[in-house]
Amino acid sequence: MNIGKIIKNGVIDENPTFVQVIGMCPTLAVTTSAINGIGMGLATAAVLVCSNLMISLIRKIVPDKIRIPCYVVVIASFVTIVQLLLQGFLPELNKSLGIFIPLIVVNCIILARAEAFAGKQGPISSFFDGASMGIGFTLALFIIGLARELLGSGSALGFTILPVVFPRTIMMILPPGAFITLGLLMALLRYIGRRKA
Amino acid sequence: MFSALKPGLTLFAVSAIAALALSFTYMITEKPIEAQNAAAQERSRLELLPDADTFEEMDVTSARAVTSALKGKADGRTVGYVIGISVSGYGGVMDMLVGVDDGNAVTGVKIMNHSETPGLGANASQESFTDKYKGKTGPFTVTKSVASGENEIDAITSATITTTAVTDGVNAAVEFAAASARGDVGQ
Repeated sequence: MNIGKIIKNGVIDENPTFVQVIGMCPTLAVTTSAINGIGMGLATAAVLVCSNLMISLIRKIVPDKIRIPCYVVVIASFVTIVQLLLQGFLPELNKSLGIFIPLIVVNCIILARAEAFAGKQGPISSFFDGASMGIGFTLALFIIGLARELLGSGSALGFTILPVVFPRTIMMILPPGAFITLGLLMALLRYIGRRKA
Repeated sequence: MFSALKPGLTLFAVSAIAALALSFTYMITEKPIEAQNAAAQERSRLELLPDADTFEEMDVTSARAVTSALKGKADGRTVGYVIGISVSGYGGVMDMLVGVDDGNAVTGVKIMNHSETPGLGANASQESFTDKYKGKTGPFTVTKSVASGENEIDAITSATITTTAVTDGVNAAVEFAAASARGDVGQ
C-alpha cells in the first residue's frame, strides 16, 4: 500500500470521527474548546503511532487467539509511559494535556487500528496509518471544538471573537451541544462528499 | 502439549516485557515527578502567603472540610495559613488552597482540582472569580442578585451550586484560621 493513499485514507476517506464514528467518548467529552480538541487529538495520535508500530512488529509472534489481550497490554503500557514522561519532564504540557491521557486508554480508535490494520500490515505502513488516523482524529476534534467554543463561549482558541452583543449559547458547551455539533458536521461532510461523487 | 501452552506463555512474555518497560520508565521519572510536584506546591504556597519563609504542618483532625494546613512563619512569628480544603461541588469533589493572613483576611483562593461543568462551574477556577474573596474576612454569603455587602459573593451564572461550595470552603478555611489563632485547633 502506498503511503499517500494511507494518509488520505486516515484523514478523509475513513476519518475516524466523521466516517467510522469511533472513539465517541473522548470526542464528545473534551471538545468544549478548540484547544482541548487539539490536545486530545495529539495525545491520542502519539499513542496511536507507537502502539501501531509495536503491534505490527509483534504481529507474527502473537497467536491469533490472544491477540486482543496482547494489544491491550501494549496500548495501556504506552499510555502509562507517555503519562509518566509528561509528568516528569514536560510539566507545562502535562498541565494542559494531563487530564486527557488516561482517557486515551478507553479510546477504541487505537484498538480498532491495531485490529484492522497494524495486526496485518508491515511496520512502516502501520506507522503511517497511525499518524494519518491520528491527524484525522485531531482535525475532527479541532473542528468540533472550534464550532462549540465559538457558539458557546464566543471565542476561538481562547481569544474572544464574537462581540458581546452576540448571545452565547451555553448549551453548545454542554453535552447536548456535542451531539448536535457532531450530527450537523457529519451531515455537512456527507453532503459535500456526495456532491463530489 | 506445547500448542496448548503457547497462548498463555506468549501473553506472559508480552506482559512481562510491558511490566519491565513500565518499571524502567517509572524509575527514571519518579524523581523528576516528585520534584515537579514539590515545586508546584511551593509556588502556590508562596503565591498565597508571600511573606512567610517557613511552613509548619498543622494537625487538621476534627476541622470541617480542611484536609491539610500549613502555618506560615516569618522570623518566628505566624504570618498566616495555607489551608487545603475539600468540598463537594456540582460535578464532584473540589480541592482548593486558601491563604488566610494573621488578620484573618483571605489572601487568595486557588482551585487545584475540580470536575465542574466546562463553561459554567469551571469558571470558578478563574482569577476573576477567586479574587472576589481576596482581602476580606468573611463569613461569605452567596447572592443571586448583585452583590452589595462586603462579604457577599455573586453566584456564577448557572453555577450556584459551585459558587456555594467554593464559598463554603473559603468560610471553613477562615474559621479554621481563626480557631487556630485562638489556640483551639491545629496545635
